[in-house]
Amino acid sequence: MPKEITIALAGNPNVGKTSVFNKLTGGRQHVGNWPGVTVEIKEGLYEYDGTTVRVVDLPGTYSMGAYSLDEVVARDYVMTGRPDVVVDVVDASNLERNLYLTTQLLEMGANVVVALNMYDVAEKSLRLDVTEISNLLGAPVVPTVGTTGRGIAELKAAVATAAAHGRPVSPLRINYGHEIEPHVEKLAAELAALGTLPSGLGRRWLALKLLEGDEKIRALVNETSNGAAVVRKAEAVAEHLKGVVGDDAAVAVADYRYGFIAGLTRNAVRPQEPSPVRLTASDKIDKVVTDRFLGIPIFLAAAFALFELTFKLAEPVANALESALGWLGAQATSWAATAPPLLISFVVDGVLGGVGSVLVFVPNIFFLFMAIAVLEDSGYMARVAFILDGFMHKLSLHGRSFIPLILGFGCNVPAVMATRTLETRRERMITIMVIPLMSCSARLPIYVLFVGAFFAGRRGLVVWSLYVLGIVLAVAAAKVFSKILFPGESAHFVMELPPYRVPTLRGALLHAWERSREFVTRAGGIILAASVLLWGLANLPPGIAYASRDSLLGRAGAVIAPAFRPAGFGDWEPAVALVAGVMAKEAVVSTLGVLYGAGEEGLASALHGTFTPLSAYAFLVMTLLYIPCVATVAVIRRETGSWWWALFAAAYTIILGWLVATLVYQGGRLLGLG
Amino acid sequence: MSEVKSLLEFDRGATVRVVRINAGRGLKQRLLSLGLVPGADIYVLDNRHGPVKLCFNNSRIAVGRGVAAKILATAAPDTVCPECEPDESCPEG
Repeated sequence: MPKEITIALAGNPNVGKTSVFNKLTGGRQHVGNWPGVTVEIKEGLYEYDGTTVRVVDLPGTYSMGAYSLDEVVARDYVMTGRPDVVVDVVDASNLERNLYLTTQLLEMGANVVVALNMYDVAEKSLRLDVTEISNLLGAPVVPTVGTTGRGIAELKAAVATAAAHGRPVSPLRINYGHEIEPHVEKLAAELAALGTLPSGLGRRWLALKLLEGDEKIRALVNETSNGAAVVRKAEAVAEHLKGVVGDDAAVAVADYRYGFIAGLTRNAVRPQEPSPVRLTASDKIDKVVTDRFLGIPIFLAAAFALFELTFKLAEPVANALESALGWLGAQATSWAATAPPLLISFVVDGVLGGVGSVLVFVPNIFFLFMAIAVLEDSGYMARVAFILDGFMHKLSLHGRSFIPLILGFGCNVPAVMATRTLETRRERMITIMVIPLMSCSARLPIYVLFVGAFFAGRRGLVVWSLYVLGIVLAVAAAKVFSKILFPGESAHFVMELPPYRVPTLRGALLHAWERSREFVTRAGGIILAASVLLWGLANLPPGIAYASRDSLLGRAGAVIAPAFRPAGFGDWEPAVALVAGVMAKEAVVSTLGVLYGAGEEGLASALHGTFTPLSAYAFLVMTLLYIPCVATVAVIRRETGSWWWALFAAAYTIILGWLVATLVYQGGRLLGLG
Repeated sequence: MSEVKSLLEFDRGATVRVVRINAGRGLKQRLLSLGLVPGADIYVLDNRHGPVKLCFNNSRIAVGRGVAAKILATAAPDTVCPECEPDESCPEG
């Protein structure tokens, strides 16, 4: 009979968990759709002995606490999702730290199988007594090497056996010493008496969490009848312990856990005193890469290279995609020559155009995330955060926020997606909200058009000023948002600097593929719908010329145009172009071309009828700042998990754009420039 | 026992023993889960500018200067972190 079980992969970051996951599941994996969760969780499948095993790859964490979103997600899953087996992937050469998570999983009462990963590296300098480790933990232990696949078959077998045996009857017991231990026992007994808590969840672990003052566990217990009394009691005990042990209960508890682990390694790991080693190669690279003076130039060079390479590689692919779609449109037109023109236009301009505006982003996303995967997997990304933390801290952001922000200059869409590497929701939200102010490459054609028409002598300066304006406003907006929308201290910088590793092509391709597919499936629908909607606005009612004054779009433009009079461009044509630009910013140029009935060459002179140099600059400021394109809004919606934030991003950027454009125009007039 | 100082006040190359962590619950838990517990010996790899780079438990951990200020330690007896013995460019701790 076919059976299905679910297993979860847990473990510290940088222990090769991903490669174990890839080796377990082969190619059969996808990023799970977890409602309300912005941390991404990968899922995969494998078959073993007639059983289908669903593998859930939890985010890498150091503990089962509630410090970061990652930890909360991983813990909630183990607590409430109740996987049949939890495979804890640990770095075999660093048991001291890795087993800290293991002890907690065991205390929680999870059905744990330990994978001693990167065993080949550990073997070179250590002798590990696997049986002894297994005995002391009370859980099966399997040596593995995720990169080569060694031990994966044994791991699958151990998982099957553990699943068949079911959860351990009594979770791991660590003795917390004569001061704390009696209280843990007493609280655990009282928690057991409550009865309504999830069954199988270690009562001693819950008691410890209450003593540590964990808010989420407190809330969980408070919800049960009579739970509040236990919580109050735990608080009193914690207060009492503070006096006795001279520090938080959490510190004393951690101390005993490490004591247990030290006892384990004393028994099971040889040699006891590792032979002294010199500074590692990683440390030597770090000396240069994080150098006070060299660090930033090296980073800027790396960022520039990443950028150049990505867009150089992506551009021809995007162009090829576009001409393929153009060809397809032409084919459709000639094939269905007898169909009503409106229908043809709907298919070609609306649907195919919409598909095109989704696909056009894919090469960018693919190559950008390939490059990011290389930087991340090599270990360099952690150093970037290290170098830039001081500077970003002044902006109330974290060192890691810098990468998404500069990606924004290429394309806001992958930039927003790249914020996932940020640990706290606060950092993430602030970064996402200011990314639209980074002038993406789609805005450049608009600058080029206007600069050519009005500022021929000062092209570079004008374009440069727009980029700088975006950055300055992003800095200011980050400041404001961090004070008003997300008050609180910026995240503490505590980060592991993993040893440098050679990234694998397979890993980078897999990452890029996942991201691209995700973009198409998650954001594609919204972009397509918006494209069709915009087509309708430009072509209806039937019988009018595309985007003319009589179209719905033209009428809408006429309605909103007066709002832009203070900014110096109150005609209906620019207003329509701005509305069309919501689809994709470069559409501003083509729409103006249609509206002024001029090709791109004649357009420059046609613009002189509507704009003065001053109002032209105000218009550029508006196009820089107002609503990020539909694709960006769709991705913000996806990444923040709420339409509210997506609409907020759209709304505040319109208001900001209008204000600054008006300020520029009116200020310029006062100075006698217009 | 020697003087208790924050991590910021130790030069690179020093081996120190953690005495106390004066941080809020969240940060404290994070540091504890990395193995930064009172009594642990840690080696200061770099403390000149930007985050402080530490070596303990066989890994390299960077902590922001604000975080380092909250970690109190004393100079440890000469138990140099075996994984990261200072090379010639580091002053002996």
